[in-house]
Amino acid sequence: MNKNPKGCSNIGGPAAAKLEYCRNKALKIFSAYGYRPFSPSEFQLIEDVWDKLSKSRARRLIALNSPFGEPCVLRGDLTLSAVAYLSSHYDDNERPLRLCYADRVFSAPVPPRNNLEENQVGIELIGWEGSGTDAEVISLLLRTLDELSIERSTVVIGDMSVVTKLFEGIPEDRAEQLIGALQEGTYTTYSRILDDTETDERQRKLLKALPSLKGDCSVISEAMLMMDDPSVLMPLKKLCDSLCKLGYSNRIRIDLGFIRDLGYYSGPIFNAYSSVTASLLGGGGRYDGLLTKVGMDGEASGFALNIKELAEHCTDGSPSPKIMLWCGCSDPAEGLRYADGLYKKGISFELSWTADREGSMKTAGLRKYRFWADLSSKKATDLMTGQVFDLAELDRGVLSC
Amino acid sequence: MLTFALPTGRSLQDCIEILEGAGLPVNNLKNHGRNLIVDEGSFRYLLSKPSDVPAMVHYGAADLAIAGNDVVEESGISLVELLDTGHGKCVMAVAGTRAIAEKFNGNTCSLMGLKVATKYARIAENTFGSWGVQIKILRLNGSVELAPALGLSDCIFDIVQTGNTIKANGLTVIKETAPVSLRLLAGQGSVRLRWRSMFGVVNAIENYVKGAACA
Repeated sequence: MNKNPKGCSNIGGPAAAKLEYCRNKALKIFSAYGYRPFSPSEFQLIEDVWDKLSKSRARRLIALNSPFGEPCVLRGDLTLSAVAYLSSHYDDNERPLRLCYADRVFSAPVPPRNNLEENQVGIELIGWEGSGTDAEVISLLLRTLDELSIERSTVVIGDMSVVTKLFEGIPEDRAEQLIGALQEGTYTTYSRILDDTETDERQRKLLKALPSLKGDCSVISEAMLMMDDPSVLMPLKKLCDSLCKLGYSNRIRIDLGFIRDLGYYSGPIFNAYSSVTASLLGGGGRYDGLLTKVGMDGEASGFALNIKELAEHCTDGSPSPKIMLWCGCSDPAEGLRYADGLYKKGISFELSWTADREGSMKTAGLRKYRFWADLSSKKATDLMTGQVFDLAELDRGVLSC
Repeated sequence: MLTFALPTGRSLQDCIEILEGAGLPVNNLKNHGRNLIVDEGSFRYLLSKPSDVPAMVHYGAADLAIAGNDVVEESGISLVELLDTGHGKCVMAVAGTRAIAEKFNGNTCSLMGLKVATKYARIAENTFGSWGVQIKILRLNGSVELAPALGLSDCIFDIVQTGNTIKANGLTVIKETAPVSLRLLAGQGSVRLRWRSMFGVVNAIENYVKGAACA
């Protein structure tokens, strides 16, 4: 038996089928919304990614030298690849640009996980689309979860531009410490640093309340009342209004103290969670600042979902084959012609070439197929009831249903 | 229903005191016997080994937890630390013989390759690493104080409450590195999804803790 390297795993059987189902379904939705597929290189030059990620994230990259002696990392982030590609392969007048991908990312794991690789599916929308950009991206995220029958899921929204505004006037190093504590979720440290920070009473009160400004959309109005300049919250409010109009009011939560780790977000940010297990399904946000770093102007937003998490929460699955076609005593051409007919009808099947008739039927039973068909005798067996009937009858009746 | 993960052992009494002080029902919890899941009013208490409490919250089995920050840091699991309860106070410290203590007074070169016995391997590596010191770790699960006496290590890295055990084993506290106390914790996901239902409880615990501190 081959042993996988620690942190890596082979996925097969129904789990792999479910991963593939989620991946394909998500890509189909993205494609319908005009997102074009993108397949980035698995190696990235360190110099291209290092200063674009937060320190904590950059430290988790898996570095290696390419056989050509170039210092590289295994791709740790798909957004960086997508943005770098778009910045150098399209003219300004071709924007907005919409890309989608389904690929792996690699990074050192954070406990208690030990996986080095993660399958992600996601989108990037880059261009000048006005306030619709964020609404499109988040609603597409929710739509994808719906299509995968993960309706019991919630998207938590924060806004990096609001956080930046709230910390204005506080010395830079102190603001960094406070934001770091919020990001790590150490509210006690946040509170302690804030107590030692000089600021006016109104700002202190607001910053003190920041970690608890969580809940439904009414939190935004609550925060507005506490602010001298509530206009900074207006874009977030408009975004939430749009999502509520789409019927997602019960599926969105606001967290004004929410900060994502990657280090390049600059506007609305969001994470999607399963409402049942509270586990993270994926997330994304607005990253205009990253565009500036690669010499582009404008707005950009995107998200990535963890396909393995989607598969674990998705109740649907890819349809498994219904029928095993035993061709062990038939001309292969005859078997393949019949199989072609099934394919054209959209019926999934598996061909069995073994000469062992009983063995073939046993395998079909083990794989929980409904029917086993013998092409040489033109008979089919319903493996649930044991009933035997003509293959023509199977064609006319059951399969045509 | 809100679910709390609580550590068994000596911290449990502190946890019960905090929860009772905050007005949460704890009668069944006080007499839990061998039950590790205790339902009481609209609360469920899960009793687990202290080192397993962070995982209970991370994997969504519990919404909230009370655990020492030493345990959380050692687990490496990222949780939301809502509150320092101020209960169960102790310190994380390096302890050893007087001869070793002298090494700590010199420059850090003399500490390179130090053999450190600890059950907190992760925190020890981070702490000594932050001083630029590489150490050899001897991971033990209990009676860490024995290691220097048996010649297994140069010093120990452990939590110290009264210091009596340290003294009784001929050791002295060389350097205190971090305060330790029981913290109120929540999962990153559940704190965002269920904050409104947690808020009242967190507030009640905070009020009790502040009141107790003032008294």
